[in-house]
Amino acid sequence: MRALWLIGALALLSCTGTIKGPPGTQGGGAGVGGGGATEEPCVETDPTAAPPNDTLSPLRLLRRTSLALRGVPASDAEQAALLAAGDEAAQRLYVEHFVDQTLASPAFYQTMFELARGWFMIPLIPNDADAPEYAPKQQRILEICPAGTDNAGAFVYYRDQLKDCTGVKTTAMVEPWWAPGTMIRLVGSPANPNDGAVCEGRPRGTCGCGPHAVGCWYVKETYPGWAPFISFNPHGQRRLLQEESARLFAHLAWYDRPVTDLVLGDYSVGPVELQAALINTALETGALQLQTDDRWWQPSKFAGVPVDPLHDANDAWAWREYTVSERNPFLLADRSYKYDPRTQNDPVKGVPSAGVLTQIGFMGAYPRERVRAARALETFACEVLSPPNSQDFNPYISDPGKEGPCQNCHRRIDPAAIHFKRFARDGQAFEGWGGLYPIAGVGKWHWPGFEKGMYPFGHVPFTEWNHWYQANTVMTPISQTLKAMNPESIFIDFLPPDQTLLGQTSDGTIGPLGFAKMIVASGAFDRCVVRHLHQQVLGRDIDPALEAGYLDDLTAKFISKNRAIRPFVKTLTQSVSMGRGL
Amino acid sequence: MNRALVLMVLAMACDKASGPAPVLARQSVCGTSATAETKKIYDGLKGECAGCHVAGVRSFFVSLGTFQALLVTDEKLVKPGDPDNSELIKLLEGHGTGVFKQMPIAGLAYADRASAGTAVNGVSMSDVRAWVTNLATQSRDPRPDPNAKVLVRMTGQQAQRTLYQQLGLDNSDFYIKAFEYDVEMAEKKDEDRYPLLGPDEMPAPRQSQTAERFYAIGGGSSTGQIRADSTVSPTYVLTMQQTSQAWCRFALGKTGNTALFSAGSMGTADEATAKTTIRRWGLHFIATQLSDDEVNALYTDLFVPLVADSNAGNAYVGLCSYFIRHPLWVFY
Repeated sequence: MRALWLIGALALLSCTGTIKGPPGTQGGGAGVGGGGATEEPCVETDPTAAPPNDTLSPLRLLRRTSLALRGVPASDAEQAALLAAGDEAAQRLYVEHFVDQTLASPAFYQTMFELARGWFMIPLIPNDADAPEYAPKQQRILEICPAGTDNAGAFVYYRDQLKDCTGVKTTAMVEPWWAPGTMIRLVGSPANPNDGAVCEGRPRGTCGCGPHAVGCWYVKETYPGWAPFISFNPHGQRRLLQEESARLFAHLAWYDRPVTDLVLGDYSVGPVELQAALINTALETGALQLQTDDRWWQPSKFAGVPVDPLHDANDAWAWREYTVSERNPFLLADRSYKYDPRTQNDPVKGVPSAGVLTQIGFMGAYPRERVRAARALETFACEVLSPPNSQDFNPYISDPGKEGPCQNCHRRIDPAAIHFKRFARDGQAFEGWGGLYPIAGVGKWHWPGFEKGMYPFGHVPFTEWNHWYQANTVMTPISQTLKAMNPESIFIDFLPPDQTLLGQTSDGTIGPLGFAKMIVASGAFDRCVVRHLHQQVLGRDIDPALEAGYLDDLTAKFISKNRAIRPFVKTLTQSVSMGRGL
Repeated sequence: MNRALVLMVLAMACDKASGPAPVLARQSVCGTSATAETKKIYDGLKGECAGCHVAGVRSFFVSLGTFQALLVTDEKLVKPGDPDNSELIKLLEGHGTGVFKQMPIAGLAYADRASAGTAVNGVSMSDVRAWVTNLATQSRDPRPDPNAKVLVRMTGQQAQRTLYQQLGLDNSDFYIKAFEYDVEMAEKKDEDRYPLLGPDEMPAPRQSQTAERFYAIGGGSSTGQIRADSTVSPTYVLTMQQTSQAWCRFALGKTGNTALFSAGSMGTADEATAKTTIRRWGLHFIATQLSDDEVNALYTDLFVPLVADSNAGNAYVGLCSYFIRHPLWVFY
């Protein structure tokens, strides 16, 4: 009789998905490693196949859980506490509590950061000439006049000691952005005004550093330019920009935000030094109001803002949440900004910010639009871009998006790359100063005549634009006539209605945000996140071919938890798979 | 009797779409299985499609199983009963609505190849359409692949950190402070200690051998643009063998180190001490409560011969490195 009841229950449960636990419990209260209930209700058709005898003991389950969530096994003390908890049920309950504690510990933040760093694998921004020529700094280096000179202790431009450390010079006292609450004395060129048409708010030539010396920086080191550049400097701006994407992911995990904010959000995280790069990019683009905006460096202005759990709230090096569009107003807050150069003559206002996808670290590491698109597809949509086997293709003429064997991948890459076209780097930085990060067609970034390719436009990025942004291609869907009339129309950066990406049509949002909306709408982003979290917690990727239903099921669970990482990770720890092993 | 009953009830409950068509190679009771008709379509399309669709999320033609699990059950591609609104049909006939307008993506669309008789082992378009028309509602199995691996090898980073924790070691045992451009780096003390540290760690290792050893055990690095590798490669085995022995010896000789012996100094070779240590280290290293038989076997087969060959110190080094190379340490 009991057997019949069991059979009936199995029949009801099979194919219905997860057995739900009491309302309000994450993962249905199934217990870590599937103890207490099962998340895999279906039953194999072959009843002669004995289930594998690989259920982990509570001790081994604790070890596995600890390694998955914080990277090291449980300590002797934790193991002793588990054994002291009582019988096996009590020990499994101990593991469940351990999961809750670990998810709430800074170690989990660190695990999420390291997971994302290895997953995104964004390289360091390359040097733009011989090391340490590094462009994003965009601030001019100061040094201190030595003792014995007329202006001893004052700050002058590097290499201007002979000129400005002696004699009577222009002087200005400022509270510098890098040392709030203190005053420094600028003498000579750094103390000059930097407004007006010549300076445009930048410290070029003999123009000054501007209010709070925002256009300049100072660090005591043996050779100017190396501190922000070297990869092993934890406070180096280049390293910070590389880490920003993974830090944002960990931040989203820590604060239970929807992971889609990773590519859809108008916020990110970064220490003061990182935010300086955005501020100076915006200043270079013409947002001069930022010279007096102290919200990014004045501690009293960012009190209470969420930071990472490894730093104090007021620490300048904390990974502090900031609103991207406030640091660079040309990275727009508008979540659906549209601009069609085929029908609009007014200048484009900017490009909507899009989490990782508009970070300097991401844009700067990948030099061109197609590389960015390919990496973004692989990283955030888990697309596989592999070459085709032998097949006859139409001849390649000028558009890899629809001609020749390259279209095997470029049919997907180019509709993505269209969104990444405006971001460029121009010029070389000298000791951190002089490199530019224009957003084509935005702010002051217009270059009359660039399309002719003549001096002064015979270098990157103009040569690449003139070579690759060809009219009537998938990536640049404009006519030759329009291109001739409006050369900047080549920067068209939304997907026209006759094209799709991952099966989605665009709502017309320009830039990387338009791309992000489509990978999210297609479901590819969610599935990709689920696969990587599964890899972290259960140690293996989900095979999208063999386990499509499993991936669908987990993705639905992930979305049902508002795409917050910690509740979903807890669900994974409660799966039957988690409880299997050696 | 009971087995037959179970089978019958489960088949009724789950295999909603099998219909009258014979079922081939049932994948699971919880996802619709490929029918003979589906296999015929798969075999007919494979010749033209398998060239590209063998990797990633569109690896439809790796096997009949992936064809069924990935394509047939995806309503965006195949709408049972409605060939005109199935993207697969549109693609094959050359009027796709997505990024690709036809399949194969170059030359004649499949339908034209089939009409012309040039499709490799092709099936007719009318057959494909008929298959979609008669296809029952499909569903996917929501369970993980029962044959998927369940064991995970510790990553290089986990292995390094675990060794630090379990052996009572830290960076100060291997490195002194060094500065480059006023930035602190980890300068190795002695190569014979087998320093091993990821280049993304802070302070970062100054010598390349330190990072190379980390890479050898599968560690990854974003600054080095090297992905982590958790296979049990010969390089991993060799490096872990050397490192475990060197680090165990160092940890056992480290003054005041209570990680391996709570007294802070190495135990003696007497049987009681050795067996107590074996039992403790089983828990310490591999989270396993060893049975008396297992303790006795390790004492007799491993510890005693090592003492006889050399001394207690070497025996404890051998015992310690044995646990670090144990499958229960390597995997979780």
